[in-house]
Amino acid sequence: MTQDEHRRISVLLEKMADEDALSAPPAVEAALLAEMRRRRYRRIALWPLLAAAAAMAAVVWLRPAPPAEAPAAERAVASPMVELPVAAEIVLPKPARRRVTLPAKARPEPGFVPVGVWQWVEPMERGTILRVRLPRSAMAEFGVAVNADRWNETVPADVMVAEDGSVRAVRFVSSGVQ
Amino acid sequence: MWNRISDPAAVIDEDLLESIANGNEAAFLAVYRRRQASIYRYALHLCGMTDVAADVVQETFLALLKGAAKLNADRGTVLAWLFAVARKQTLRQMAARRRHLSLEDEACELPEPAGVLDELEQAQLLERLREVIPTLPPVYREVLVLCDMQGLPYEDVAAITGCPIGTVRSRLHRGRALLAGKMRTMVGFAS
Repeated sequence: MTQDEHRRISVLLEKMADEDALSAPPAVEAALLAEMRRRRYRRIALWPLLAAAAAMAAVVWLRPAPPAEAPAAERAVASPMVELPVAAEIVLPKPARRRVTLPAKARPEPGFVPVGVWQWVEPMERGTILRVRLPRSAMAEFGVAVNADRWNETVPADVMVAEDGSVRAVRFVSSGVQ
Repeated sequence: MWNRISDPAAVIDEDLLESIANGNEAAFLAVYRRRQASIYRYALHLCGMTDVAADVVQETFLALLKGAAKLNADRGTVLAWLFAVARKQTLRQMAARRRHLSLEDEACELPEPAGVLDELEQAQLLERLREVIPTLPPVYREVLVLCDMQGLPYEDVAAITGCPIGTVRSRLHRGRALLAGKMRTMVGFAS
């Protein structure tokens, strides 16, 4: 086969390609366009989800670490430092603490201190409170600090006496306790 | 970039890749309408079935939609890439239909086609050519379609078929010789 025949075959094939109006059916183009639009729609629809996921990730990332973790200095090295603008800092108002000072006269009396717990096997239904004076040394037995210089002095006290005559409780009157 | 392309049909394939990756329909259609006939013709000549050829075109351009962002124009033309995809798709489609399409070199006896082409008018030649091409072994048909009908350079054909340029040349030579021989045989039948 000569070079000339090679060339002629080549020219014929080229001519045949030009004459043949071969092309893919229009349905192929339509299907591809539909696929392109579907992919674009999916990409657009995906953006809000991605943004929401990113926002959630940012919230988790920026959340302050619990105090039980490593010291702040170590945390600063281990995790990237994120500086928030000052305006973003939220300062909650502290609950107001009100100190109420009652006048001395209105101050409540100390409560009764039980005496002889073993005697309380029988519940007391009725009793009598007697105002008496007890030596200050008796106060020490009930856990009250007593000035040693005034050890022998007496203080007023209310004594709760049950119906059977047993002493159930004692209350030192505050005005006398010093 | 795709917003700045006013007439995608006037832009070369390689410059439209970014636009296609961004979902620009006009850019995609420009490449499709420019290249679909070549891909269809190539697939049709390889497999001989119009439905397979249509499927190949669809799958090939679908691959372009998916892979436009990753295509590197420095490594070859878009057309060569499309042909390479179409080749794989044709083989896959044929395998799916349980039809073997051999694109490996085959031992063929070359006839002596002396003086054949001078005996026929051009119209007759073209008619005979259409009849003879499908009877060629696919491996030769492929290079004839790519080199002579599509006008691709040997380098591109070598890249598409995955063989050295020398092999492309030899296949082309044998393909043309086989074609001429078959045409002579037909002429002999005709006469």
